[in-house]
Amino acid sequence: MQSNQKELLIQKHVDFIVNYGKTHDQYEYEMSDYLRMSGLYWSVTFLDLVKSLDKLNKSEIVDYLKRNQHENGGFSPCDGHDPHLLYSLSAVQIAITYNVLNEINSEKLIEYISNLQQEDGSFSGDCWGEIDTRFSFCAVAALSLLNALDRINIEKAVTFVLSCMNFDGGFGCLPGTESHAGQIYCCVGFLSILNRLHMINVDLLGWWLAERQLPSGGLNGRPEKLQDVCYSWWVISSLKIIGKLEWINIEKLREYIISCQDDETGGFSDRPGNMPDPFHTLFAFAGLSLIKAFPDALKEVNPVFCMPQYVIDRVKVKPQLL
Amino acid sequence: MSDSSDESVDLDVSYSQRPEWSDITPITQDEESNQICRIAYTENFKEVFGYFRAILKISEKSERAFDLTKDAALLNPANYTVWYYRRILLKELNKDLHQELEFITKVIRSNPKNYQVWQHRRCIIELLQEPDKELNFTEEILKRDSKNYHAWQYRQWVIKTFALWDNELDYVNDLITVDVRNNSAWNQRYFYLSNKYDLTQENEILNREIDFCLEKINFCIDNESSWNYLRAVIDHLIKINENNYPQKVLEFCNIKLSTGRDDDMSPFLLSFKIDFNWFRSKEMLKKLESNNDDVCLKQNIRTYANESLDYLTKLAIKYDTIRANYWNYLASNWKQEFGQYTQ
Ligand SMILES: [Zn+2]
Repeated sequence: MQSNQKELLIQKHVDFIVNYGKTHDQYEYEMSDYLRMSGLYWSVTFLDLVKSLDKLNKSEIVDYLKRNQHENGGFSPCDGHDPHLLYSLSAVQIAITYNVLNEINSEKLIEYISNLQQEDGSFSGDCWGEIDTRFSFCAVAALSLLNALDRINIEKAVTFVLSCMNFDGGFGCLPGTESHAGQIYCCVGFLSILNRLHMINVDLLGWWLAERQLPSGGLNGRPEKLQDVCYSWWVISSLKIIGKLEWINIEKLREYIISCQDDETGGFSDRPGNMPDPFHTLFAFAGLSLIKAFPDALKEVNPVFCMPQYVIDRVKVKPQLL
Repeated sequence: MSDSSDESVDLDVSYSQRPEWSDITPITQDEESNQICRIAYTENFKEVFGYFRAILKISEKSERAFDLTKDAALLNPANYTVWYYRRILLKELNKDLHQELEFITKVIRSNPKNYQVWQHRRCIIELLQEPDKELNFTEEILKRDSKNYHAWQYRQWVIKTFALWDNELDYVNDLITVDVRNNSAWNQRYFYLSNKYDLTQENEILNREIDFCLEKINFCIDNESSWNYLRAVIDHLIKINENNYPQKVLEFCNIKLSTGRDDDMSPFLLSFKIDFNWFRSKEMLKKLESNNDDVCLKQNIRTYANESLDYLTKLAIKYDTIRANYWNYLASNWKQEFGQYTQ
């Protein structure tokens, strides 16, 4: 490490995450209350990566999971909301990380997820029919963690995701929509879980992804957009999956991520000087872990699931990596 | 994080003070039971959603419930349950859908980056079967943010569903004229092209697209979007024309490359030429398999390889240093594949 390098203030970030929700701005928090289950996943995963998972009360979290499983099997983000595939994946990720799958009704959940598959192979996010390749990823990610991929039509699911591949090698959320790093992460992760990475034009996509790195070292999600810590994660995890992570400048990326650290309050923001939040804090650390920036302080992250690698090993899930 | 709404909800009289709501007991959230999920709500928010949960629980289909969903939707436009219930009430109470369209227009104007609001609009248009204003409306939103993903997705849905292709190319042309780097517009151009034409046939159309690209690249050479589009068009063209590379593209590249001006040395131009060289060299390598003594072929490969390696070095150390590893990777491919011809 260089001497002029900004220090990584892990303890501050742990405090930031553990106290988030007690001290944050009210308005922001209530507007995002539909994200609560995902927020819990971000916090749990972050704390596990920095070896501080004991800072959260496990039994409260298990309780929370149980309370938010709907009778149809899906999970809602928070009390009083409807279940959705996004939060169902978050719930599975939390349950797997804590190794408490037996505490939730997996069979019901598997049923809920497989019922969301449509005739064309796509998945809707909930019973009201929003279709998005993100949901294809959520479905197969959750099902693979539950060891139940045989419960959906995999060929049709793959066909749909491939129909969203664009002329630039990337993916959008529906056929014809613009390539976007977040969607690419979902589609590449989806194909990795299903062992179909050979369907990707790796050189074309890899170059498109590498082009996302800006002079600051940070990465954006689409051409001409600003760099952002969360997009940096989606781009580099995709690059890692297709075996092209070394195409970008890792050192500059590390500098960029660290520059988004809030030295005062703890936490990371999308860009230097902005307001930190748990979402960007997790993706900052996942990014640092993926590029092995602080190998002693951080556990290894899995690029497909954005969960600690040891957890993925424990459930014996092996997504394909090129 | 979310766009603040200018349709703010100011309750003159709180629900608990309104006689017409006195029969309803709001359902509050079980807040204290869980430390992790403790949410600090504002009073308005708490109140409106307390009543909303109560209404939802008894599935009340009434005018007051309909009005309540308006406050709830404005307080949290991302809450999909609210919109869903509002649609049930729209139907049930036989509400005026044109009025609803006006309402959702206002909400989208203040929350253009929220999925639920666009979804609601789509449902209304599906019921009305009146897409006439939709292109104008998305244009209005895209005028403020030309990359709004929801607006583009919605526009594509409208165009496809109601076959409104006629003016799309003009619209895309306008956008690209205003901002040649607008990647969403280039994507929309491809959406138009690939839906409107059978790209395995349309020689003429594809050639027209090449001219368009070259003009835009000439105007702004360092533009990822136009080069990516050009590559896609050429891919289609060479499939139709049995690997005949469009000559005008090569001429264009060679002119740019020959200026020697640093301004012209865009990584996209260099990499385009390098990929062309690769394509040609591979072709010649194939020919060499049947005629191993062709000195001329070997000489050509050598020229291509040397030029490519020269560009790749320049990219790695001068024009695009941040991606030096990528350019070095391509250079190693060249050396591996054609190294024997460069000696
Ligand atoms: Zn972000």
